[in-house]
Amino acid sequence: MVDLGSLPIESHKLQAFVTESIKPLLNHVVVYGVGGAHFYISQSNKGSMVFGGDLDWYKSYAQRGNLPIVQDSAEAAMAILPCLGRIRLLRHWAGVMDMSMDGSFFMCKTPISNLYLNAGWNYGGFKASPASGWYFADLIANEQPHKYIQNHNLERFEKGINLDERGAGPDPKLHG
Amino acid sequence: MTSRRINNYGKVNRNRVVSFIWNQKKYFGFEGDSLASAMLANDIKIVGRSFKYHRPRGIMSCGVEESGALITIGQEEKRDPNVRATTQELYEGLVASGQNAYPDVNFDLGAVSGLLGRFFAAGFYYKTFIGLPPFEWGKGTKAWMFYEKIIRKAAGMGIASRLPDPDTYEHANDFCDVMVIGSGPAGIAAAQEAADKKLDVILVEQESVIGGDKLSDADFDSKNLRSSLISSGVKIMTRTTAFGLYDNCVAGLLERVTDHTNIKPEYLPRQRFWTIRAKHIILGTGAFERHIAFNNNDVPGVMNANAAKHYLNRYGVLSGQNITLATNNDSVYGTALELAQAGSNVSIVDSRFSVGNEITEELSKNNIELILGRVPYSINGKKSVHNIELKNSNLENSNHKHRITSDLVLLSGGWSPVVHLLSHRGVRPKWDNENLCFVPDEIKEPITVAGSASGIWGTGDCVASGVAAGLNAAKSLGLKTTDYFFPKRGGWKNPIQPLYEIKYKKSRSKSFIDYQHDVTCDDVRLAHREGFVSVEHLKRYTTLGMANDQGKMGNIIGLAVMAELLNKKIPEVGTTVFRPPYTPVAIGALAGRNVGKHFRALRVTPMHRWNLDNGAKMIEVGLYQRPWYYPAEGETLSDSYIREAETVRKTVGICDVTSLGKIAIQGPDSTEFLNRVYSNAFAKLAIGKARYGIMLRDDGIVMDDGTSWRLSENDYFMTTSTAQAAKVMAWLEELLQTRWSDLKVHVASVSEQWAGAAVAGPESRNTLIECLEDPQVISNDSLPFMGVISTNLKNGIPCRIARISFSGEMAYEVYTASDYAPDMMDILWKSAQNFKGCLYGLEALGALRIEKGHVTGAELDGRVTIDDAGLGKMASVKKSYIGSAMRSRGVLSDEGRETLVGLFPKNKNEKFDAGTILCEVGKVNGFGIGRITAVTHSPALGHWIGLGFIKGGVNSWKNKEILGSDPVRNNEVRIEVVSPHMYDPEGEKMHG
Amino acid sequence: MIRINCPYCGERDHSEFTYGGDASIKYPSLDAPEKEWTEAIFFRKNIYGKQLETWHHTSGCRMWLEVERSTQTHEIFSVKACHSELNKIIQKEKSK
Repeated sequence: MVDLGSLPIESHKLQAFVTESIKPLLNHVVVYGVGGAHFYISQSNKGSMVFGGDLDWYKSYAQRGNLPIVQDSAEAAMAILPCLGRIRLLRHWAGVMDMSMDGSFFMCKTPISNLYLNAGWNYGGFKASPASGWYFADLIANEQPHKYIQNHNLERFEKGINLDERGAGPDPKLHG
Repeated sequence: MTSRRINNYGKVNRNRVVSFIWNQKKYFGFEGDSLASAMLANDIKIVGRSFKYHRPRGIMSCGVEESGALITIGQEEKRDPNVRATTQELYEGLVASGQNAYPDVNFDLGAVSGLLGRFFAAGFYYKTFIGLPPFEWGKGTKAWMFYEKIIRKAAGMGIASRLPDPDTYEHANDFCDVMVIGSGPAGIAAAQEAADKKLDVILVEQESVIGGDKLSDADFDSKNLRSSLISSGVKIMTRTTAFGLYDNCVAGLLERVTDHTNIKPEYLPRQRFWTIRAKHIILGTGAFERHIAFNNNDVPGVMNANAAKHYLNRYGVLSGQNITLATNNDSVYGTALELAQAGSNVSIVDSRFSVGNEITEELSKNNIELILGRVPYSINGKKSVHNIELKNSNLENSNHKHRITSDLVLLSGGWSPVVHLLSHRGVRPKWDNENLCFVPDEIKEPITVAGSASGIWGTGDCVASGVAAGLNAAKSLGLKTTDYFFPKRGGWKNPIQPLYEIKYKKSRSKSFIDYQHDVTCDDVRLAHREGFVSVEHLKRYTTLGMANDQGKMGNIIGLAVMAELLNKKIPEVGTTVFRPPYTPVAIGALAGRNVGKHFRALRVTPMHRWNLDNGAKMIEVGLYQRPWYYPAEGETLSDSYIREAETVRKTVGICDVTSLGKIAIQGPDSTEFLNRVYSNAFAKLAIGKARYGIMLRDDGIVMDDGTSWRLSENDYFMTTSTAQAAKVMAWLEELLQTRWSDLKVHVASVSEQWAGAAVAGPESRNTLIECLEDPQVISNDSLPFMGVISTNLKNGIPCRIARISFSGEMAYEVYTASDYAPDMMDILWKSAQNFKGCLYGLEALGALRIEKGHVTGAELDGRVTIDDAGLGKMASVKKSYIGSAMRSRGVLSDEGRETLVGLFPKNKNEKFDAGTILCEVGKVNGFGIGRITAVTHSPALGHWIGLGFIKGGVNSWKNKEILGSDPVRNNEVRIEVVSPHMYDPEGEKMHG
Repeated sequence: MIRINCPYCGERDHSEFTYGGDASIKYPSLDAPEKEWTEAIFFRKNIYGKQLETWHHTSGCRMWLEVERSTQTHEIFSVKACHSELNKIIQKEKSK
């Protein structure tokens, strides 16, 4: 537990890729997970294709990735949009993902008084930030979790409440 | 700019004329030209338009830092947008067209956005989110949904093709002792030194010929140097860019195999992506020349100074007739002399006040005008340079404006070492105030920097540093070397003076920092005014350095402007991190050969050919191809699987079950091992018997179901589900090696070694009798339910037979060595046909097992406990096993959990699908009370049935009606809940 | 590319391996109480810097390895077989 210095969270890295900007090619976000692949792609308003997929699979805080995932992501990109072959990758980097044991976040009090935890968003943090802010503020102000986040606490594991939609089990890297 | 080809200069092959198309017109160049040099030779002034303001751009450099000459090469499916004309080698028939312009780069309607430039300053994009004033201001905007489309259309540089990329790309790997990146004087010296020490050396060069900056020397012989390096044992890779450095001195490289030629044989890939694992890396990556920011510094006809020297001596192109060089450092003087000697009128504007007699004398001998103490102030001209205005270096305002008529302005604002690859390794650069550039800071990995990349300017010093780097590499690899030293940084006679921006008198000027994204000094000041004071924010808000050149040209100027605003020194402002790739890399190259059907490996069973020959239609299950159904003439999928399932229940059917995982478990502790991993008892499994087993995860949730057969005292054969085969294998190995190292057990995957077929149905025994050498071995006494034997098929093929049933009928699973698979199938099928049996596939198998209520991965989805699945009896209370401690924690042992049930539509004519959410009548919301996991149109019962989970199980919903809600497929069905064992609930048929 | 020096196969790319998990976890005995198992399964120190982890050489010798690696720089400090007896045998072979 947190007073002993451990949490149900591991820090992994997720690479993101950006291409040169081109005239509009894709108007939606495309996501797929087939054949063991895991992939998303969209086109930014500036014209770059932005894509990514799997974690690098080993724990890291380094914020930079290695080549095997670059290759995997390019393969997944080509599988769904074969015209991307000639588009050039401009930049790739990695962010630190706080992967949790069941793929779901924690927004709760901790055993340490006045210490609140809002973490373990895996790689969904970007999208969830605005809404999570409201619920976290509510928790801190009212000392009680809202009903939507009632089970999103550190005690859920001992209670058998597994918020594990994917059914991957207690291994952070598998929730990528 | 009146640029042209001249005689007696350049190393292009004038005997080979090459034609190319630019904007649908034909032009000529020579073999050896780059597209840019050929364009200059043809005096093509405007080659592109800038991103935002659509200002005309010309050729601005002679290398990868090019921001103006971004061209689209090729057509249709081979269309390549955003190619730098400066790095594209010219070949016969090359087709080039301008981009980001309508109708073309010479006359572009898009230039109107330049007139509205005031509204498109940095950050305009983000401000549009706030809302259109005055109605929406501050409240977000609905109009965004409309004008986002316009912004998207205006954005983007080239147009990409939508057709699949027809080219092939390869991946390659290599190893070496020393990798030298860059073949300038330092790189070559380093490579030679390392090779002399008998080290394995790879020299990587992004150009087509080695030499680096020496290529701009009139008398440099690249070919000779190449031969001598090769004979020393150096492996030279030209047309190869080292685009990224990764952990452990592993580099990613891109080799351009056929981009430079129109001869593209089928057997060659377009490009190769190399992963090279070195023990030591030497960076001889050189330095970029910076430009200077002043009003209108982007008019076509502005280039960096060193580029002109390259165009002259490498390509024989004189880039201008009346040339003005503006500088703050010594590096331009050699260039100026050469340009004057080649026939141009040259003037030099130096911001400093003295450059020494030696230089001044040389200049006057060559009729070069030298204007000291002046800086460039503004360029007049729109589509080309007409003249350039100067002002005094040290006066804020100057009434006396010097004006020089020019057609080419060459800028040199300083030199920036190319430290990008080090940045990939997290090495932050440090500022050298004497040389006004960033140089590498301390490097902890086996990487050495040599030459200009470390801020050394003189050629002799660069060579010496290369030698030192080579010796340094040898030493770090354990060899004995002589002493070596690295020359001091710098090397200019006269010190460089800071010159980043010359402010314009008017409040708004177009002084470009980032040419490609149209970021001006005013934009940086605007960002600062709006509160973006960190360099990371500056970059993202103004988009400085985010274009194709990734800030190679403009970053330092941006930092200098920021530093002034923040009242800090440049190093205090900080830097952003350079990321791979150094230059853009085609995604196709990164993907390599794993495209199209090769995206993933194809797994087939040894019966694959046999299945196809016998009419199977296949389906993908993960990576496997499995038989789906075996249609008779004119049958649909439904017709087929219903017939197959009925045949199995009536007489006999044969099914390929080879894709199941199979594991050999051997050793004196095998029984104890199995007893620990399975939830049910295995300690007393008799020899010659098989048992169905459930494996839990550590946290008590069901991992997989399978069987284990005891072949002898210490020899077991385990089967797992297809999907979990690899996972279970890794799990068993993990347990044995990391937790129970005292157990004497060996596990081996034998999934590939065994082929298996299920023979199922009332006539299955009779069918098998005809196939065996000794039919007696499968009599009911010899082979009771769950028994296992090893025996031979009629033609001597050895096999293992287990009397296990997944379908619920009397059934046997027959396994043989994979090579015998087709023969085994021949024998089994011949016999089955005598009983009017059939071959059946996955669809029928699914129907049969759903009718029986047998669970598969669809139900055991990683969230379900053994009790949820209705298999609570298989959780032994007499022993501890993996998951036993955790399986009952908290809510996992609650009454009223979602447990396994069978489902019928109330109206037997209706259907439902897997994934449907089960809800109480009148409460169709949220997560409902359960879900459907698998469905089939039951051959035995004549209507749709399903398996699923529901809160409280059968007992809570017997005789009550519920709703199945499927909003995705627009369906809502009334459902009744029944026992999951919907056919032959007593299991009589299996035991016959 | 993280390069792992497999004691049996030699130095290989990390893509030949499957990542395991935290090697510092001592799993309780099968009949230990729920509380001990919960702690072992769900809670991690997640160290920034040198830490112990397991890797499984799935595309090679199938050995489970205990690797000491920095999560900050990815530098590997030691590699050995998880199975202590296996380790002893390998050390003995190497010293021959």
